[in-house]
Amino acid sequence: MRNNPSSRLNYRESMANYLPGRCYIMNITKDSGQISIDFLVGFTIFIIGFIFVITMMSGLLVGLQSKTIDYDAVAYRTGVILVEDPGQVQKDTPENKWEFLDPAYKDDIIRLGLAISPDFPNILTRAKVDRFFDSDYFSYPDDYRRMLIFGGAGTYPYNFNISLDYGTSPPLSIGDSVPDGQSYGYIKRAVFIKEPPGEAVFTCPGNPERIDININFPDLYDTEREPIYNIDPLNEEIRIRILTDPNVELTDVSLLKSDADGIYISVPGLNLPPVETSGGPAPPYPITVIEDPLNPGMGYVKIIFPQRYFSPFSDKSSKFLLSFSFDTANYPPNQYNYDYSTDFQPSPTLTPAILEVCIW
Amino acid sequence: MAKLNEDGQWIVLMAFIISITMLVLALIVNQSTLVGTTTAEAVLEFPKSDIKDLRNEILRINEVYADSGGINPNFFNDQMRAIALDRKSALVQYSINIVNPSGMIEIHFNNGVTEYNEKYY
Amino acid sequence: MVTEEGQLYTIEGITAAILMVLTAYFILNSTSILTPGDTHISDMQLEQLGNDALKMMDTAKSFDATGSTIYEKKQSDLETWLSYDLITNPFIRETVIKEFIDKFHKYADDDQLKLFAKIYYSDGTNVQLLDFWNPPPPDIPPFTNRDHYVTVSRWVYLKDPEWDPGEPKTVLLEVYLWRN
Repeated sequence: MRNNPSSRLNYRESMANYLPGRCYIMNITKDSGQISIDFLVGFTIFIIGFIFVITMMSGLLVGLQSKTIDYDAVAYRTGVILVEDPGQVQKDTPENKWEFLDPAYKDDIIRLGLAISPDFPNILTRAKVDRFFDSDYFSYPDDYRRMLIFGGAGTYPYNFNISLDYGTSPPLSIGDSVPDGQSYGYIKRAVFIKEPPGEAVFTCPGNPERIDININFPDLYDTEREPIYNIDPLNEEIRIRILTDPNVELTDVSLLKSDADGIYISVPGLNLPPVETSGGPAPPYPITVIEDPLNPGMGYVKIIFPQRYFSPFSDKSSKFLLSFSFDTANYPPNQYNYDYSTDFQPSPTLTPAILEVCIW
Repeated sequence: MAKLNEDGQWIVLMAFIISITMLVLALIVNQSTLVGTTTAEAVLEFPKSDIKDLRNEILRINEVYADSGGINPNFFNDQMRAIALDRKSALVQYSINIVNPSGMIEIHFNNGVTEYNEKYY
Repeated sequence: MVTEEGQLYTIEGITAAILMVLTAYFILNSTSILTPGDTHISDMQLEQLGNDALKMMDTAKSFDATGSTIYEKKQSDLETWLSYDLITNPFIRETVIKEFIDKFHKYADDDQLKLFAKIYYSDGTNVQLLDFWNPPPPDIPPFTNRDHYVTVSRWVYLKDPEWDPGEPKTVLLEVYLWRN
């Protein structure tokens, strides 16, 4: 009866049923559409309280992202990628080792990793270590975030600090140091670094007319030594020093490559790296190799083949002949072999190092 | 008044609902920090170093055998299986092809949670 | 005009607001953040470091071309040390233990690590324990079961160990690591 729309129409009729002078108890419903003050006050107090509470609670969830909870997991993953993974480049890049890639192709690197190969984790190569920490090639922090930290879709900007300590002071490092009072994720890995070979010193007294050095790649890529104990002329720097009698005259230096029949022929278009002698730099020939003040009684001739010098025109089965020709002809030519015989250079060793990763 | 006027109770009920929602949110925040612990547990549980070590050892056995011949490299299978079962609760088995020196090496590892099989040429 | 009615909604509103504010206050005061410095994360870091150091000790630092077999050419420190006579010769035993600890500290770059090692080998039928670390040399802290420790292990191939000469063996070296 309360909500009956016809109640108003029937007002007169229904009112006719009530006798005047009697007290009747009736439901008085207001259909007027105005809210009572009581309700307004109560509701206002409720809403004010609600806004107050929401303001207090909103700070609870704001700082909460899944990416900021677990810095240790990101640090662990980064450590594993650096130490146990050799890195990867896109398939059709001109060079499949990221540490020798031209800076213009930087975007083709999928992932950075310092290990020598997946079969030898915890052993890093010097070339990768140098390139990784070189700020001329990789820009901090974007390149590292893209290729190493992997903050996820949209790349959450983790801050990081990666440092490698192998005895230098200060250790190599990338990134800012951790701010004070900041909680951060941390991992420490112990690794070896495979160093390039040391300088090979050949002592050649007696002033021969030519000194020949055989560089046989098949001897150097000895399968017993595995990739971690060998000299890698295709990818590592080769340094050769010859000690001669003082005051001989060096007239020419040449590099010849053995062809299929074993005849040594010159490589077309090849530029030798600069030669240094105790009498000065050598490309203007002839030059007198005077006595070295640091090593009385002998002079020296030094040549350094930089990293990747041999790779454009050779492979693991190539053989080379490096010849130094001198002017005076006292003795016939001397031959030496650049290989692992220990009388001219120390065998390659592994350097222990510590890698630390901090993420915040 | 014939019965209690219960018109306004929905306000208090809303307050209750909001309080319970806040409790649930606070619980979520509290539990979220445990996520970090669970990740570390998962890392500890996965036998990464066990598998790598096992693989390294088998390749070393193969290398020593290939060089000096003599004892059959599969001879160590029993030793390794017994020790691994006793100390690491893991089932380890490998076989090295001795007829063809550059043949296939098979490695199996199963510690109940993680299983690893490899054929290495 | 002024009656006793009309406080219904007001009272409900005030009650509701008080309820919510009180709840929020209790929650904000009592949410305790569990410090994730629980043992799991530090265990993970220590175990990874221990495995790395053991792996480094089981890798020869350089290729020894004077060896007669491949085993000798690439013989690692662990393979050399565990082949010595660790049981009957106390001097060798103590020297090996001290060198092991020194090398481990050097590779892990942490002098505060405490170690305890055991060797498990198989004699054909059973798995035997070679408890060469007990008793530890003086000024090496002994292992008590009270410390919380992490276990790392490494398979070592021994061609002819002096403590059980005859045939080559593959043994499991188990190392307990803990920090004070």
